[in-house]
Amino acid sequence: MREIEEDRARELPVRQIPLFTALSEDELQDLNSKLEQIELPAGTMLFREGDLGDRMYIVLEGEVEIVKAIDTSDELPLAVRGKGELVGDMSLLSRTRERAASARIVQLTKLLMIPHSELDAIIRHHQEVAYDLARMLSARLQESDSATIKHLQVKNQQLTQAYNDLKAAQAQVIEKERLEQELQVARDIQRSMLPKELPSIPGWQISTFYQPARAVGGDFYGFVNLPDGRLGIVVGDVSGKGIPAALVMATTLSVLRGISRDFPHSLSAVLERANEILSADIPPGTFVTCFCAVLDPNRRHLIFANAGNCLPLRWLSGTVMELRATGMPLGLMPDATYGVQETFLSPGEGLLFYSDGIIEAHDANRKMFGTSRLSSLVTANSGSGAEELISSLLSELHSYTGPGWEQEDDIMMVVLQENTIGTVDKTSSVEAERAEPEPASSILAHFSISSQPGNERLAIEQVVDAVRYLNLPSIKIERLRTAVGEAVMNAMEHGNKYRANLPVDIQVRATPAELAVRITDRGEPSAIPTPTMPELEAQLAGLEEARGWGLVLIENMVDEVRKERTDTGYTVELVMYRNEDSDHG
Amino acid sequence: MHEAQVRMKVHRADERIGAIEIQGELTGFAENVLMDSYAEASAGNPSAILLDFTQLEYMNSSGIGLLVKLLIRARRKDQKLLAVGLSEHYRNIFELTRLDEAIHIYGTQDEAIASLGGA
Repeated sequence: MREIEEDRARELPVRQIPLFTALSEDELQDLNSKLEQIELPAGTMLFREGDLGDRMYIVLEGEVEIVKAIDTSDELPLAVRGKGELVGDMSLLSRTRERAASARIVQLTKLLMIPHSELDAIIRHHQEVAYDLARMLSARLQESDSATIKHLQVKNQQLTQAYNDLKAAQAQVIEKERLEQELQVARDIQRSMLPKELPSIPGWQISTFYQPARAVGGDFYGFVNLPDGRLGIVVGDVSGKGIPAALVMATTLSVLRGISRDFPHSLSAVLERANEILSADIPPGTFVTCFCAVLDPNRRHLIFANAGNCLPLRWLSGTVMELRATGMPLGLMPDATYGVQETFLSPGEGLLFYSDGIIEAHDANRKMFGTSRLSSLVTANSGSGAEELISSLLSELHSYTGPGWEQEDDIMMVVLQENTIGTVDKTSSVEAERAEPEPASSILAHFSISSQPGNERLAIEQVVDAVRYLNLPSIKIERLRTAVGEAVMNAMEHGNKYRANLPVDIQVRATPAELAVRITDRGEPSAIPTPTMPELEAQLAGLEEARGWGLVLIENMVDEVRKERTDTGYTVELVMYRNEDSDHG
Repeated sequence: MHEAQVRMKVHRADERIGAIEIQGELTGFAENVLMDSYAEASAGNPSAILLDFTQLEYMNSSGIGLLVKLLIRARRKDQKLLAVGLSEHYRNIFELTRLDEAIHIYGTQDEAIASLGGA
């Protein structure tokens, strides 16, 4: 029985459709004969939403997908119709006969086409078909609604998310603008704190360069005119950026200026006091590096101290060295101490103070400019004046970093150049030759020490420092140390009787032919002992005191010893010849 | 301020040789340190005392005076004084003062030890 029914079903697919249960056998047969079967492959669009529809379909085999708003961002799958189900029936109810949705074949599908005209005919004869149709359509609508509502809910969520994202992005933009403004204010504060004009000192050239980075700030430099005619110089760098860093910079500069008036003679006290104040006042984790120097422009005497800054460079005719002093950055450790160093600048010598912006600038391969490159460039340009040196360094920096380099840190340079003998005058090579100084003796250093045992060591170091550009072979430097040490000890002991209030004056002078160190004490005529030549064997035998070797050393370490009695004291002049022939044995 | 910027280490170089390493400055301020180190190095009556100047930073005329005093003590005990590690400059000074005739200078500790010959 079943088989027969299936056969019959195969013959008359219309029989399967619930809508047509009211039809008689004849009517079914009649209907069947009028209906066309089609077979369509997957992916075929059976019909599109909005098309005019004049037929509906029954799925005999396969699957058809019903999709609203297909190929748009609002695409919404409504249903999948399978075997025995109707497709395309909604347009029956539409006045315009427009397809309410699109239908796409999902897999190879056989369909039976039922033109509306046939359906109309059926409904005329079987009104209950109309009701069934209406019920079915109503169910379809509900189905469509639910799907639509769900779809709208999802859309709503997406919109809310998009709105939140937009608000967040806006907030970021606002924040960025605020930061940008703050940075601008910070830059303005910094700019206003820098010197408006450079000090003018006869015999010295001063030149500066300052280019802040966009986002980072904090480099500063300043000059202080001290009441005794000396010039205070400070360069430094504040960690951090934005307004807080700018304010710290302002604070630092005013603290340093104020303190230097209270302690004009003690650079370490200035730094220590500044460090105390800053440690207490500035935000934790912020610190300030700073290099301070005080120049006596007439004596060419420089004292300096460092709080964690890059070491400045000094140079003369092709030799470059560092000004070496060490100490913790300001604001880190409240009780840090700062050692002060001193030196004499030679005629024509130059100083470059700078911050790490130039050192850390990098090329396209992220390789840093570095201190050795800077030193070599200074050496190569050591014949230039202050301004020319800065422009050479800048053009080297620009070729090193290449086009499109983004400056990450402030670039700052301060150059001082001693200019009394006109070595930097490059008006023309001929004139330069004529302007070359006569073998004037240059005073390389002139200082005093108090007559306390051990101070001869300070004197030795200062003398050795003063002759750094004379390129003396190290064996001669050793001899100089010994000779100076012994002569100064004699001056302190025999001349000044180790009275701390009596100074020993030391002057270092050089001509092309010789180096001379004059050591003067306040000794009275009766104070000079008549030196006897010590003899080792006699001393070993206990016949002599084991002493007196100083003069032996002095006379054998240098080429000449000249002695002079003046009104104020007694001077010993140690002379070392400077040409090769004077090889002292 | 500049007192005794010197450190001295005493050890035995050999059964016959006490050694003193002089680090830093040999000046008048080093007298006590030197004499104490000498006493320590002389414990057990070595026949020689080796002075190692490799880490000497500075020596002045008072330091020379100290070496002379040391020599006097060593001679009383019939001890030889030997020196190694002198820089060219201080070798010159030894020669200048004829200290090198009393304190023989060697290039290395081994050479100094070898100079004592058989036991």
